[in-house]
Amino acid sequence: MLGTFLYTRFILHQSLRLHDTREILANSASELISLVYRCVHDIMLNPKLRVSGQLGIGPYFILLPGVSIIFSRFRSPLDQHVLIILLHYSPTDITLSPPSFFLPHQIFYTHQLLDNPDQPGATNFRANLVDAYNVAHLSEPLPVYIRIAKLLASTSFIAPLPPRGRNAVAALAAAIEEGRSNQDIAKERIKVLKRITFPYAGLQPDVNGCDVEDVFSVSASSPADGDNANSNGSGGMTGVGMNGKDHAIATAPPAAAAGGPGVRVPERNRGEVGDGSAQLPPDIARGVHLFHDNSPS
Amino acid sequence: MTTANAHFDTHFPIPEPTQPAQEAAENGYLPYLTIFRYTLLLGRILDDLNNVTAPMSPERAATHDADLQKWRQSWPPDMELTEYAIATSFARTQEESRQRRGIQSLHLIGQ
Repeated sequence: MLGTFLYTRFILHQSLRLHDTREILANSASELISLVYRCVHDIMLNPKLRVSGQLGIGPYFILLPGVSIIFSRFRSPLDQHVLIILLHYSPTDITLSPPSFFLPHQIFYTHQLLDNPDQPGATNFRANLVDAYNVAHLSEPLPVYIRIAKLLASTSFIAPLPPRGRNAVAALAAAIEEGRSNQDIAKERIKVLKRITFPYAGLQPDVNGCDVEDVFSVSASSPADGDNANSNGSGGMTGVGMNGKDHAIATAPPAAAAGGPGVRVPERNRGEVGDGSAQLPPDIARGVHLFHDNSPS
Repeated sequence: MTTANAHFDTHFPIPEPTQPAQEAAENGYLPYLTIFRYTLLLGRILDDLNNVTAPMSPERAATHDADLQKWRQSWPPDMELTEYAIATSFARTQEESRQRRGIQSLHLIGQ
């Protein structure tokens, strides 16, 4: 009941953005994560406790919102940007194996940390973030985890990290752990940025169960950056995730990544995403844009 | 055979109004009432969340949130057990009512 209560409150406030939302979201998420994290080891070690509907429901509260974000406001196709910028702000905190996708509690915390990395409670936010990663990582054997991963991979709202991107993040974590020079770490970070910014550039379709067209499904540009972004010139904006009927447009972004049509990026995003940001495909640019507008204040 | 509508016009039993903070040790029905009240509340929230034709207004959401908080504060005081209290209440030497409260508390906190 307590877990359901905290979960319901989180979802209610997240979807509606009431006043005082930030504090309530932070409190309910941290309470829920600590509640689940305390017992997740026991639950995953003991199959009897994993019976759904009883105590085994704990990890579900961390995992299940992954379904609800598909219908909610996190529609940016590249929320993985958040991880990278988080790495930029607190490189020593992420020493775990990198996650394959983001879950809403993690998104909330990363948004908060990006908003103001030195805000009061930032240390707790980071600790909670690591706990949430741990819960998601530990509960990988659960059937619900596999289902959610498939669902997230089959819809284009959140693209899973491809294997190469995961390797890049792991290399960065290793570089930090080994205590290499700052220059080396910066090099690794730039590699990760490039890999994450263009996760599917140069890859064959249908890698890891996720099609290129699923990832780059936003075909046309928004009116804001629409003057030279789209070489096809179809105009207008198709819905996010209205899946790839238009093959010619859907395959455009890798061409843009390889140095095709120049894409205008909003001025404020240029400095943050590093060297690879000069030629962002339009959907990625819009993703960053959405991410900035949606971050709870 | 007919059934009058009044037969369904029932209300939950409420704890004694003269004793606002009644404990589950005195009244064994209180934990069940807590669970039932939460189920009703959750049903109302889900009705609003899943309503496609009319999205939930912020005022309605604020009402739901206030109800949720009110529910959280209406737990019987002796149901808020710590992990260790729950664990000790499972011991065989404990009396049956205490064991039952341990299980109910686990159900309330753990799920």
